[in-house]
Amino acid sequence: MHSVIYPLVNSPVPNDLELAIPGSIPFFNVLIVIALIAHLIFVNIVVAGAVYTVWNEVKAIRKKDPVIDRLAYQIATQVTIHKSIAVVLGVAPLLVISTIYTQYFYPSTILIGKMWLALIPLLIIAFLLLYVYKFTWEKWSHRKAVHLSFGIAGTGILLFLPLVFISNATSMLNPQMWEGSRGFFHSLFYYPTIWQKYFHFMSASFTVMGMYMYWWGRKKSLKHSDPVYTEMKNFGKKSAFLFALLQLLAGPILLLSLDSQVRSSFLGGSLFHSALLVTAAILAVIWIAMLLQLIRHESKRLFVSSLALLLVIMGLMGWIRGEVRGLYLAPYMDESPRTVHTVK
Amino acid sequence: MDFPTIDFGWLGNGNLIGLMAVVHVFINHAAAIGGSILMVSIEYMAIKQNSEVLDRYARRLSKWILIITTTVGAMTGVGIWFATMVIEPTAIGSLLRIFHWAWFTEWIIFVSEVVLLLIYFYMWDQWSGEKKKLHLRTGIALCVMSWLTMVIITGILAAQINPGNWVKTLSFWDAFFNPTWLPSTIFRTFAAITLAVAVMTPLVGWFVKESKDRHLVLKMLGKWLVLSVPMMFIFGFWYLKSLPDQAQTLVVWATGMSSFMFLFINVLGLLLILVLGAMLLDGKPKFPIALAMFTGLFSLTLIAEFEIIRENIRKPYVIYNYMYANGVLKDRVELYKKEGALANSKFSKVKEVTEENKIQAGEELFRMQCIQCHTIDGVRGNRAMTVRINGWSEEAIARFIPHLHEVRPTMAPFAGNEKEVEALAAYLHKMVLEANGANTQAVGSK
Repeated sequence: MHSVIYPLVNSPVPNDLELAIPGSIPFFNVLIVIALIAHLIFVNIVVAGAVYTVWNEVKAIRKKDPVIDRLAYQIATQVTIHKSIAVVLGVAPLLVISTIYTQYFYPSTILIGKMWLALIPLLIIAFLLLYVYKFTWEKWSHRKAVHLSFGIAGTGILLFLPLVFISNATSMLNPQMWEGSRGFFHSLFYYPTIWQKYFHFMSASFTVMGMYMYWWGRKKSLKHSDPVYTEMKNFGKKSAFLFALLQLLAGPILLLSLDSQVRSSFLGGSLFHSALLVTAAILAVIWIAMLLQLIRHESKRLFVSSLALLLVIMGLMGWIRGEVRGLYLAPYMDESPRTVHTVK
Repeated sequence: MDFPTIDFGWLGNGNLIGLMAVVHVFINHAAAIGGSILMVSIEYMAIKQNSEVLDRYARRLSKWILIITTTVGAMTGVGIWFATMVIEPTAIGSLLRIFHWAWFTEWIIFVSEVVLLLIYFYMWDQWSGEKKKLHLRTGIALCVMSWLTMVIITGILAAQINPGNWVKTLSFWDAFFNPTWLPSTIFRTFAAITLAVAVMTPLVGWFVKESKDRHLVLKMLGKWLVLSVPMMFIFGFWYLKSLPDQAQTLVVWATGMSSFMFLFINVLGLLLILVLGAMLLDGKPKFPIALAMFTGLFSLTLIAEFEIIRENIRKPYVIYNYMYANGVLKDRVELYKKEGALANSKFSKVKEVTEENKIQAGEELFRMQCIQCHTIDGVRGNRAMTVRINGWSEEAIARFIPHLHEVRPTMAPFAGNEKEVEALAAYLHKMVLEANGANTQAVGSK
């Protein structure tokens, strides 16, 4: 496995641009955490929602259950709405990362440039497929196989695309590996931590989608006695809990796959980093216990507090992510500093 | 120069950005800006006339606008950014440093535009009766937001071609409120409405079957058209005059047409659109479908032509008087000529030209300084080396390279030392010979 070389003799990182970064870097770093979490919540809902739509439609066909079919349709509608917001919310974190990590993010992007550009047609196709899927739900109710194939195709693309972002974000932290990089598919098995991050991201997606479905189903079932909302609520609760448990596995796996020096910072090497991780881990365990309570008894208060706690945990995770980035890049930053004042 | 390079081969790197931009502008102008204005105008008319048919028509339009703008529209917008990020990283990186907060503001507006569009479509049936006014206001807010995103992006695009005092002051405000911003913003606004009317008119008969309602819609479209076409003329002229002198002279050249053809086609086309507007004002439910079809197609061509001109007249710069189209800073050229471009490039595998690595060094240089616009053998003949330097000797190419910007003012100067000139010439000569040789053989064997 690789390790970060301290100190760097020949940094592979290009010099920063001549024009200064227009603002305070710590402020930008906070902005990345907030903007990225907002974006990821919507992406989580879209990716896991698309899977759950297909899953429930298949279940409805097999059980011949119209309630589950309507549940699938409800999720499909939410997916198409949330995907529009997910896209626009993705602009802000990319904007900030491009501006303050130009020297790292641009090379890592260009090295997988063809796949990076392929994101555009792939996302367009996925979104259009999912629109067809949603808008033909009733019209094609007697042609379920055709209908389902649109959902499966759209969902398949959405399951693949996070790998492109993960691959880019991982490559930007490993400049010393750029020279050996041979495009996107090679990157998937070349850089460390990619699949661990994918596993972490996917289990987070189904957790967040579960919470969303529980919230939506609960809100609606207070007003309507439609069984579809009860189904949604119960399905959501179970999904949130099960995948939260999986997170307890995904988190440590990711932690162990990090660079040894970065990992050791979080495992006692640095008091600050270790405290950050321990706090997040304890809160995560408390949160899972709350979810378990929620499955047993319905309670608005419990739900609201678990949601608030989830947001706090996500905030901490985002912060940790920022710290990990900082630790990986620190030696390069010393070698090729960022432009904070324009020299003219 | 400072980043890795990428080669999209036969398609051409620049064409890829252009393609993305043209598709985006079609959708953004015709659907998001012009289309929304017309859609909300129709809803307003439906309320005034108490017409259920017109209300349904506006609702159907909103569904199509939602689908198209949140898929192809939004993604090609992001796509322009992605494409420039991998092809012109230094240029887009610098623009982001100058305009970060303008882009950030545009992002906030963009988010509200999408949210408003979602509310507008999904609340159509819920917000009826007393709440209808609220729905209409949501639509108006949507139009304002989609227009504002264009206002901000136009500021950035206009600064690329005429950054005014920014080059001296490096002040954001000087860059944003550049001399070209206002005329180009107003020009684009009316171009968007014209485009939307032109695209929508042939489809009215399909959406609105009743002749009474069709009459009302066509009349409204006619009104927008007779207002927009003259405004395009006026602000288009002002826009032209606000360009740097050299860019003004390049407008006709950028289209590849003769001056006469350029004037003839554009003026006649716009006049025909105006004629359609006048005929629509009449509101007759039947109108010449051929003219409507022509208007639709011509408007799309016009907007594509406009974007191509805008990109081409900026040459040799990507940010005027600051950075050349290949991403080399104007004030770095002399340094690279002295010290060599390869020695100053982090990602080049060759740092110094030798007899052994000459061809490889040439390729690195081609990728660093030429590939942004040129291809070896590609879809656009006038940018393909197999056409431009067909039959040239290696020595002739080497003699031409140091002077190419003097002979062709649209070319950026080559920023490299003498050895690098020779390496580039050797590489180009070899590649052209191979490509043309292969073509000749292929033709010969047929």
